[in-house]
Amino acid sequence: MTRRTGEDSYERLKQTMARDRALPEGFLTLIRKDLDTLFKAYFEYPEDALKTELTPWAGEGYTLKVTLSAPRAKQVKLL
Amino acid sequence: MARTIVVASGKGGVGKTTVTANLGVLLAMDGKRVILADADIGLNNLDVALCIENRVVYDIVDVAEGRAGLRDALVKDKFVPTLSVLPSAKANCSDRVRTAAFAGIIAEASTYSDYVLIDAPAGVEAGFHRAVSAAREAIVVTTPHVSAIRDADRTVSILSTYNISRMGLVVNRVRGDLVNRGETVPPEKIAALLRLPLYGVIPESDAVGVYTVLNAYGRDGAAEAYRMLKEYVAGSGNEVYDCTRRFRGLFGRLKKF
Repeated sequence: MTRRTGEDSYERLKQTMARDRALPEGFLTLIRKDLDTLFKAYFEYPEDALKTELTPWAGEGYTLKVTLSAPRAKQVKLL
Repeated sequence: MARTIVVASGKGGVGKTTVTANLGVLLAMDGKRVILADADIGLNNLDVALCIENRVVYDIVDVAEGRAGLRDALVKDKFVPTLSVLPSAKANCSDRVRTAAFAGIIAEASTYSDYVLIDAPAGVEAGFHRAVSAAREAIVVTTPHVSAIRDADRTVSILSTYNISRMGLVVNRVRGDLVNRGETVPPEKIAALLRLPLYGVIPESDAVGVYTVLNAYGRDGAAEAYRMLKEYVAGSGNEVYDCTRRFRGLFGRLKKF
């Protein structure tokens, strides 16, 4: 065994765990649908105005970027 | 109300029962009222680990099915008066203890104790979920082996979906000489990978059984490591055992032979 065994194991683990944490197909579609339901309560916008981008697990976590360009906000009555 | 802590791992054989038993013994020696609950129905070992297997009259299945009260089933430890064990059943009757019933038993146990430590079964099947659902804190046990760490990672992912307010890691059976030589993943890196605070590092030791802290090898590294783990869990300390200490320097290099 050499000194690299520990480092090799560590690198193997990082890659294995990254693969294990891969999100299932359709995960982003589900998120987008839920976000669409939420935002449509406050804004009016065309179908392609809501953009979502998910960076998969890269050892540091998942990053979700949501961009919405809405021409109009709905009238919301605050009680 | 007691602190309810589940000791889980994913992989079997990493030392959950030993950690549960030793941590429970040490907390009880500090005067805390401790109940150890064996949630592994069918492959239970907590009774054997604490040498109470001949004193078990009622077990958790009897309590869940109403044949005995919780206090009837608790077995007091012979050496530490404030430590009690809720034994599990030997028979493969896991389906006779529903999750809600188990949670109710643990809730009752926490009304007359300071700590309830739940020894979870290996794997992530129904028994594991039953054990976790009754706890508010978790200790994940792993060894420095790749398969154990991977299983611990999956276990942590599942634990994070439960109402667990605090989670920590214990790395068991660590060979300090291999850590020094870079031939195994150090405990601190394992904790960073799993993104958990490191509660304790327990060195590999032939002296480890239950009552590690009470046996003649009280100065053994494992005994000190368990004491430091107890202090971390109880909130009276925040250091973990340095398993590489005795392998450094001239005498350290000689110790590997």
